Amino acid sequence: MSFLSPMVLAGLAALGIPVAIHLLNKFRVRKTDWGAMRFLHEVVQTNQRRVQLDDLLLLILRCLLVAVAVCAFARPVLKGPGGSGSTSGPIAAAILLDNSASMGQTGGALNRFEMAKAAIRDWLAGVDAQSQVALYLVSNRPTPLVGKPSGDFGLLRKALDDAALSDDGSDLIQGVQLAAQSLKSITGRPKEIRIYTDGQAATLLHHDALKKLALDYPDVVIRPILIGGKGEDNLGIVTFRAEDGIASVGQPCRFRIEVINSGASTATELKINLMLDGTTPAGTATIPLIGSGETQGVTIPVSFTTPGPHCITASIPLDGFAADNQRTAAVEVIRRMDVVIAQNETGEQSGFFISRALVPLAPEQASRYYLAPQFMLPAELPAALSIPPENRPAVVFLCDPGPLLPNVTSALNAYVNDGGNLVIFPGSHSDVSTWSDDPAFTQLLPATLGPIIETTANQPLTWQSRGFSHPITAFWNDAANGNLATVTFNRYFPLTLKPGASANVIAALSGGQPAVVASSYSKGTVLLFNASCSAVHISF
Amino acid sequence: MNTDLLDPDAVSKGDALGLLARKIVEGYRVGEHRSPFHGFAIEFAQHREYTPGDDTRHLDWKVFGRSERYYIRQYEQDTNFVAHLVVDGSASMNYGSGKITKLHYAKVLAACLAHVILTQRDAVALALVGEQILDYLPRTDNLQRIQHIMERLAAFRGNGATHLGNSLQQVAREARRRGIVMIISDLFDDENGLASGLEHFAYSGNEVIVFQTLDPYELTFPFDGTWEFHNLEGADRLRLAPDDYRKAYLKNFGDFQLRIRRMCKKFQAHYVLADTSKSLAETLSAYLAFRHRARK
Repeated sequence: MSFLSPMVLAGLAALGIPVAIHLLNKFRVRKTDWGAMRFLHEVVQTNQRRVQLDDLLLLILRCLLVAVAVCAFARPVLKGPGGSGSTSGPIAAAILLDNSASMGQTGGALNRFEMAKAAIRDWLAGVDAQSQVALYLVSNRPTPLVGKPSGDFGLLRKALDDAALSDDGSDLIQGVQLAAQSLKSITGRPKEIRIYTDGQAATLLHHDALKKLALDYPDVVIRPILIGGKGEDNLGIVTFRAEDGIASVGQPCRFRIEVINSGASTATELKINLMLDGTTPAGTATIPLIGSGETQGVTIPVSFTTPGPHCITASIPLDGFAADNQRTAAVEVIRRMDVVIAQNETGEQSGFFISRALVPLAPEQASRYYLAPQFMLPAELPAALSIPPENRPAVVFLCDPGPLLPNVTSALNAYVNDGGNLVIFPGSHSDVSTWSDDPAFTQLLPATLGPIIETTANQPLTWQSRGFSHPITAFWNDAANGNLATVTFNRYFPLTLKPGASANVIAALSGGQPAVVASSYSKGTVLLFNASCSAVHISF
Repeated sequence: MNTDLLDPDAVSKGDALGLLARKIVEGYRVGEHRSPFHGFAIEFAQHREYTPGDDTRHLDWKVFGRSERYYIRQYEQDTNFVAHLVVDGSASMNYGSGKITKLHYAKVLAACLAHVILTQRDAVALALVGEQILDYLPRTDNLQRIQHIMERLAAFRGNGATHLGNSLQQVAREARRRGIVMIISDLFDDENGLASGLEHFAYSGNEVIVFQTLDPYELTFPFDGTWEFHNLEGADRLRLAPDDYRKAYLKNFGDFQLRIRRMCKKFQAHYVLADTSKSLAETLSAYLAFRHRARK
């Protein structure tokens, strides 16, 4: 038998406590005169031997209780005659070998994966020859190497030799379920599942799933065998993503890097480097302190000078497990993105607000900005969208467009169908009731629009303030970024999601009705608002 | 009973003991007119020739009818009975888990009984015993002697072992006349000796009442931890954890009490448990109430 937490065995010193209590009771004597001595003499003569035996047994039991508690906390693991097995006699076992990336961590000559393989070989050498053993590789999915328990140990050793480390994460619970099923048909011998892992696996935290498994398979013992100590330092980049949606030339793009400290000691002054295309330093930052088990992050802005695809790499100093010390992301950098704002010349001119929102710069600086809004009438859209795809605008904003002619809606349908993006703001001049008569346009819409509704001062309607689930609006879940509930609706079109459509509600009204709905249409995307962004419909 | 009244220092003074006994007894006797003890009638003694000045009420007219001579009937007013109070003064009686030892309790009980008996013009004899009779007051029916009895009780110190059997036989020799024998003792003695003493009294026609005086700690043995017990009647000591032996001790002690009760029943002696944690008036009332029932 060995112990997974042998340091706890120091607690055996607590055995002195019952002994000390016993001796204290013996030596702390009070005295009294006594008249009925003859009765005591008789009782002592008759019972002395029994009482002494009881005392001794009680002391032994108290010591045993302490010893058992200490041993239990030290997490004992039974080993067979070979030194690594679990029981004597033939057994049925399923071995789960964790081959997730973290098993590649090394503190010396062998990484954890190789150490686990060696431990399994030792166990196979010691287990009874009549035993049946199955072998699974598990990371975030199980891979059966020997799927059914087999007595062919040569096959098992060969499969073990061929097993390779993966760069996947860990979720061992599926493997445990599969292993339990493989043992289900075997009867008449002890059954166990042996999990060789480094303990970073998320499955070890799935207490509920493990409890359910234990109930479903009460005759199967689940035995985790931790490989490698938890004390080794390991810092790993867990998050590396661009915070801003579109990377463009000359505009700083922010990258978020988060580092986890899965070692036992605190990491200080951790330097993070960003490298552009593998050669050009793009930025650095330092995380002052990461406690054991904590995750800390920084944001580093990066400016791109040339358009096109780029790769950007975040790295931290190498440690025992190099695989998570570096992350690389591919970024498409654009120089310019054309967008079209189509609005009726007699409409509410809400396109103006859209253009200012798209280019939040002074007019003299706007020409250097990557977004270049172009205004046009809806009737001009068929011509603008019929050019080759690489020259077509990336997004079309349809702002209170008024009556839409069939050739316009057909052009829009074709544009979205071919990967274009359409954003619709219905307004006072939009006869939405006619939209449903146009199949080409109706197909694009993720929701149907009802007759316009005017709100009253007594019952103001706003956007929802918190609880956004869509990535576009999740930014406003943080109160520091503002509150969308400051947008008050004067009038709006009630949206009703199309049944069966895969539409997402990006934002809702304070009453819960959809306010902005998005859906995919063929290769493109359509966003439908419930009002225009002019002062007629909304106010701030 | 207020146990303050049983302050050992107070009990050591005869006056205080007398006062205490009177207080307890008179408290009990409020409203009582009949003696709880059943005694004898006034007995005729002799005739005497009438002389002038004699009360004519005592003339025996039957004798005058037969002999035509005047004779006066003379009566001897005897006591109803003699109560022999036997108080055990062995060293074991010096045990007390609280302020009151068993001997103190026994002395006050004896004083109370003496007061009751003398008040109703019966006679009391007091025997203070250890291995033998240590002090003996012959019978008296004079209430004025109560002070003397109290002083003797107060001065009594218990020590040494007990041979209650021997002592009882000595008391039996002193008590030539039949009466009531009241034994106040813890009875931690040779049970055969006690049996022979009781047998002696029973066969000589005495009524025997046994007040077994016990401390509550002897009855319940409530000690915990480790204790060293020093024998009051010897030099031996015993160190033990009472928790381990409590059950066996209580069984052993219960058996002893049962044997005593059976012995009393066998020799027609009345058994009364005098628990020193209980009020003395309570013990006394229970006993005297028993006597009333016995009279009816």
